[in-house]
Amino acid sequence: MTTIKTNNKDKRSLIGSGLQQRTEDALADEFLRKAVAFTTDKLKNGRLNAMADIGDWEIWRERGRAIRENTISHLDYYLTQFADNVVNNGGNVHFCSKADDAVQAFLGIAKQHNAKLVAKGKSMVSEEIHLNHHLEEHGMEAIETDLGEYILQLAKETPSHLIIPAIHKNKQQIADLFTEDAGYALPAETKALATYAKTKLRNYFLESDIGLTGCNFGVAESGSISLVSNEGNGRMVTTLPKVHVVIMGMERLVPTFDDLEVMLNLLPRSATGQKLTTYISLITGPRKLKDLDGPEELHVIILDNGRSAQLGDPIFQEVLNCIRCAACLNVCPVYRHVGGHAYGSVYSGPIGAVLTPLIQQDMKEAGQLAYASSLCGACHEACPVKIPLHDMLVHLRHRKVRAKLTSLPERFAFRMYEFTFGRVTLYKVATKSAYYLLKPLSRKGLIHRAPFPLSGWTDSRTLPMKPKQSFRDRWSELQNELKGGMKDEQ
Amino acid sequence: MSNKAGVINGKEAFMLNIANRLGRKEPLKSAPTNPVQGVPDHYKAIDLNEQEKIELFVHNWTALSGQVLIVQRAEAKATIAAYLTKIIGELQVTAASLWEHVELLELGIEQQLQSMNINTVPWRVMAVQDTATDLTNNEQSNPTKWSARDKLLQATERCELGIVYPDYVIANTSTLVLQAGGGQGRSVSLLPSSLFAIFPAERLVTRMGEALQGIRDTHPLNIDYPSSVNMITGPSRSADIENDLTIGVHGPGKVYAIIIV
Amino acid sequence: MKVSLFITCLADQMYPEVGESVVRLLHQHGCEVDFPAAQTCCGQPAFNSGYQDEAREVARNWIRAFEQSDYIVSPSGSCTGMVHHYYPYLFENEPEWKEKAERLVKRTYEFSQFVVQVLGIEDLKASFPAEATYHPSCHAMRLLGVKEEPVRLLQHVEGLEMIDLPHKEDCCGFGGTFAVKMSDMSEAMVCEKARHVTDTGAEILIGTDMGCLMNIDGRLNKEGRPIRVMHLAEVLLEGANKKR
Repeated sequence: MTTIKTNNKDKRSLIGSGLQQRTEDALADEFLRKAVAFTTDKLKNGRLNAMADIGDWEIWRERGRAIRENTISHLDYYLTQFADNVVNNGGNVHFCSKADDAVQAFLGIAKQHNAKLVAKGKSMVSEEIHLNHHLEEHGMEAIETDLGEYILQLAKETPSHLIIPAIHKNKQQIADLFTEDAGYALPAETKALATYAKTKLRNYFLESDIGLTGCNFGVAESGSISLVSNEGNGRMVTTLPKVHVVIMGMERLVPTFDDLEVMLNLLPRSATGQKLTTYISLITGPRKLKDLDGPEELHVIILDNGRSAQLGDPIFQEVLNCIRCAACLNVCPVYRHVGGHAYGSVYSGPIGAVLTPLIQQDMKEAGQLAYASSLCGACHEACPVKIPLHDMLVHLRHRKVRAKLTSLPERFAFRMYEFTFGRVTLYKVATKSAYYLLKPLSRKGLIHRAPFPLSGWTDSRTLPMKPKQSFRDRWSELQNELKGGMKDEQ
Repeated sequence: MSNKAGVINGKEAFMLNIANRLGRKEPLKSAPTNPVQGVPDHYKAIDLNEQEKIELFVHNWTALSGQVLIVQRAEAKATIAAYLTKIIGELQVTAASLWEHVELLELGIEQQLQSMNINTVPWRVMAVQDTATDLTNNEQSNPTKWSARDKLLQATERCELGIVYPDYVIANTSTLVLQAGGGQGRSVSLLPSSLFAIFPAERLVTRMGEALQGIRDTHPLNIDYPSSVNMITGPSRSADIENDLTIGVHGPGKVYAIIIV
Repeated sequence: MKVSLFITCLADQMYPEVGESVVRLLHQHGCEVDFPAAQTCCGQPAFNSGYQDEAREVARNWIRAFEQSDYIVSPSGSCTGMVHHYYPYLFENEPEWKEKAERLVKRTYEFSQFVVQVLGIEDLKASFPAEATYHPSCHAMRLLGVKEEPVRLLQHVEGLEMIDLPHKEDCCGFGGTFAVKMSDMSEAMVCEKARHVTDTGAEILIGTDMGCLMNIDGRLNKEGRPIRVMHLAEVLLEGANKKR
């Protein structure tokens, strides 16, 4: 793998220093790049096999898209139906507009139960609102029980992939983390490490006061919550602790069980290539009177946090259709080279690049992510619900321009582009001048070094010197040749 | 009996905001016409006979490292007893948990286990005399929250084997569908490290939608809908450690399907 | 059949021989090719950088230039994709121009698309003995759906041995201004693409977009690899001439 040397380069950035620095850091990390490439290839191939296995994938995708679109366009109806059903079945619902509201709602529940230990299933939304940090501030311990998340919790790091969060950690690094946690040496060997985590986490499952999960799909018709998992930790935290708290984005719904079947065919296949995850838990209210196990209390925290701002937007409403499968991550060439941390957000890859600036309503810093793409369109092609992420990235760039967040030289350059390329006479003048400007830089038809910003190109590539005669300069000669009796035989 | 209704906070403003953003003055009250519902027609139309479903299930289940045994109904009790004995020996099971289920009763599973001197924990409220504690010395001097929990849960947690009788089994994904309630405890298929699922071939359906429809049909009112339905497709697994596959993390790592034909 | 050449600013300025190859090939197969002189650029550089107003004016010039054309053929999947995918959107609020755009979209084709779908030809009677590999451009594939056409045209070239490019559908890292704006990222991508090309052992790299090819060629040059980088039309013309 070619290491990118950044020493002699012009350090000025055209995209914003945050993204620039994170990109450089990621590109310099050889292990990360190998791990990300290996994992994404594996998951991508899994998805391709699973698609072929079920067949007629385009029909499935279109169905998935239509179901999600219907849900989001009528979210007021379905969310009401869902919430009312949760409550009628003995659950409690907390609608939260902002991240802090959700934190407070959770703290309220925890306080009511004098909770000290919270066992967490994987929940991106809980990371979005930085819940763990707040729990710690209030003297509670929150344990991540998903193995990858547990590793990251020990490392005090954030996830680098939506589905396999700790792909950037190798066995030795994990062994080191577990050794420090255990107080005795653990070998860098999968079985030993898995056994350690299993035993340690088992104890947490038994002792926890609250189990916290996300929600893959809420089912409006019954007020059910569906959770997918492979390890079994999702089942543990929703069976053993007396209180189960669900924290979900307000858009994570489908209308009926029929629709759930479609989504459960799309999600695991798109995420890992599995037909189904090992466990799918369908939870409808807390335990019933005749149940001898299960939580006594169920709370569902429904979070907005910038999502409703996308409703009614003809371009961006569709981003709420996402089912968090990470198929887009696994085909994105940018993600492939840098992994999730470069995005500086809980949500990474193409979906992260679009969602983060939108829900944070920040086109300035988070908006830099709109440039983290060559617009190749692979994300849209892979998305099981056909979200046009590639289009959305271009529209985000437009938002940045409209908000006057791009640099003055750039705005000027494109004004000049419009002025000259908008009329052929000036186009010809401009391109002729370009010839004379570039000529001094070329040697034997190639430009090896150009000044900033073209240095971004020439640092790693040659640029061909522009020929003196353009195609249109030669056209009349070519046209005459073709017309003038030189009939080419066929 | 249904649960008492819960509390809902902050709905009005939240929902009004959504409605407004979607161009409505107030939240939509009537169900939208939903033209696209459920799986594609060609997928729904797939119609397999029982033998095909059995083969499909076996193919998928074994691919996930699950074990299968197909038994003839006439000899089911004896065959299953022998298989149970064999596996219990292999896995060195000392305690087993099982659903309190009429079919398991008829198969005499509980008696079989007891005859093998296996500590048997049927999923029913424990009588006081059954709750004889076998706390370790450590647990007695350092009582944990767990030790104050329900005795049945604690006893189940100490089992190495759980035995269930799935309500439905999905052939095209080799998935056991387990409804919770009464004698069908969630913990039985979760806490022990191995799982036995016994079911007659008639309970096989081709695709998930049929199972979901079945549960819906038998529980048309939401308040009656089971509080938990677990769909189990193979052994618990993780690839979080450098993409290396581990089988058997928090749920059962060894799974056995016994199909009665 | 009257065909207008949509040269694209990149081919016009940097790769006129590609334009010439397209013209000659179309002429050889019965097309009367013209060149609407008012054309400049499709507007994509501005559009993809978020400057939609600026792109719109350049697009307007494009529409004016090609308004009278029956068929519009371009040696670029990317530029053709721009017209197809974004022109109707750009003129959403101007019904008259939107209608013009939609009309022209139906007549605009990428070169291989035109030859196979409209002319109905797959065998251009070419001979080009060499080992080659093909890089499909992202925009041709994903904005236009051009996947089979270039492959079929190459399959009929006598003596041309096509070696499959590993990870061929991975982006080469050009992305227009991306190559300069996210230059570190672009470098990582083009290095991997160049490695895949080199690993095939092919003597020639063929593509349908000069943006991609300029990018990969630039890297191959930097690495000192003696691989010849050619546009599909150049291969076919050279091959057709060889055969005659």
